[in-house]
Amino acid sequence: MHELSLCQSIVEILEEQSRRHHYRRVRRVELRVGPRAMVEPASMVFSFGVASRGTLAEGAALEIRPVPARAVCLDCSCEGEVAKLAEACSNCGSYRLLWEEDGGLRLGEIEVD
Amino acid sequence: MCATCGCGGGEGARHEHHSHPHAQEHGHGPEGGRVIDLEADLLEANAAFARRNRELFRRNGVFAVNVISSPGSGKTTLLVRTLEALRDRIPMAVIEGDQQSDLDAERIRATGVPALQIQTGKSCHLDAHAVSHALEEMTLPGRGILWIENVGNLICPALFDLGEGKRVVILSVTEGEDKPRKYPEAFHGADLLLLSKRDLLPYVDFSVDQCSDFAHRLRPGLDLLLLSAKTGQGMEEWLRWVEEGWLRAKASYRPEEPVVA
Repeated sequence: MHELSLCQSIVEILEEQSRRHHYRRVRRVELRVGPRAMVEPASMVFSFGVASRGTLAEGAALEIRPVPARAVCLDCSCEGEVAKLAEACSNCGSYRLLWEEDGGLRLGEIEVD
Repeated sequence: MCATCGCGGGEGARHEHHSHPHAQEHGHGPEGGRVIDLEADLLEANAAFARRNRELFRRNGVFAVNVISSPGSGKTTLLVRTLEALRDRIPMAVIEGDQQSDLDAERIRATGVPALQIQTGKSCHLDAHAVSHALEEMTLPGRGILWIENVGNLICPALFDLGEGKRVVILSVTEGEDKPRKYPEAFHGADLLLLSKRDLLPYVDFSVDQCSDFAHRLRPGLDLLLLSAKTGQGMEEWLRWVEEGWLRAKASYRPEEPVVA
């Protein structure tokens, strides 16, 4: 259930940003999830409901959008996007891919009042 | 209030604001509200603490090892054997992460090596903030090794950088060779894969080759060792790996505070 601690981070970022962007309520939150993040969407939505209760994000819709990660092939040097771990290079078929250093979990668009 | 971050203890750090430099506003969205693109990294708060921990380890020449595995893989047994083998030559300390109880820390203390137990409560992993608090409560083993035994879980701990120098994943042969396939991120982020309970290999269907194949698809060049903490088979290679990391960390010992430009 690391989903709950991630959702607590989401709520904290939303509260922090409310001071910068001057909003009082969040209607929609887009979460960009890369292949390394290992989050379970249903658990994420459930946890977000729990973590946002009583905050400015209570009742907001959580949209989970899978995004690819960037990787470079150690055999053919081809750079590209990968949708999941243990995927082969689309150019030469090698599994020796080096991934970007990023957890791949970002808050994307939010819709606020 | 906590000295590291002024957070009041318990909850994670929310005081660094590097995570969202590119917020952009555009018009109205499908729900009728104002749309802002935050592009904020959820793991940035953890990453900030991990950087701080890493810098502390580097300055003190500490080799910090984050040990991840599922429950019952033999983490604590291996750790106890390792501490017994190295304690006379290398200063060491242990941070134990568990949801409840002090059992593991007691097993560690029996070796004479200091151990601090972090009880994570409902949380299934250690994060860099919890570790930074633990570091305030303990004496860092300067020019030595800090073992961080993560909560027994192959999924959640994988996402949280603690600031460690190396990450070791332990997989016991009784768990099956398909685990890298099922829990890829733990293996993707590892520096060393330790296959434990080698003495049980004759009794289980575990293909070391297949496991190694999968693990290498997730992390090309991942080091892999096969050992039994019980019989001692393979322990020598493991201890050599540990010592190499220790010597490298020791070389970066810089006791003085960095000069701030």
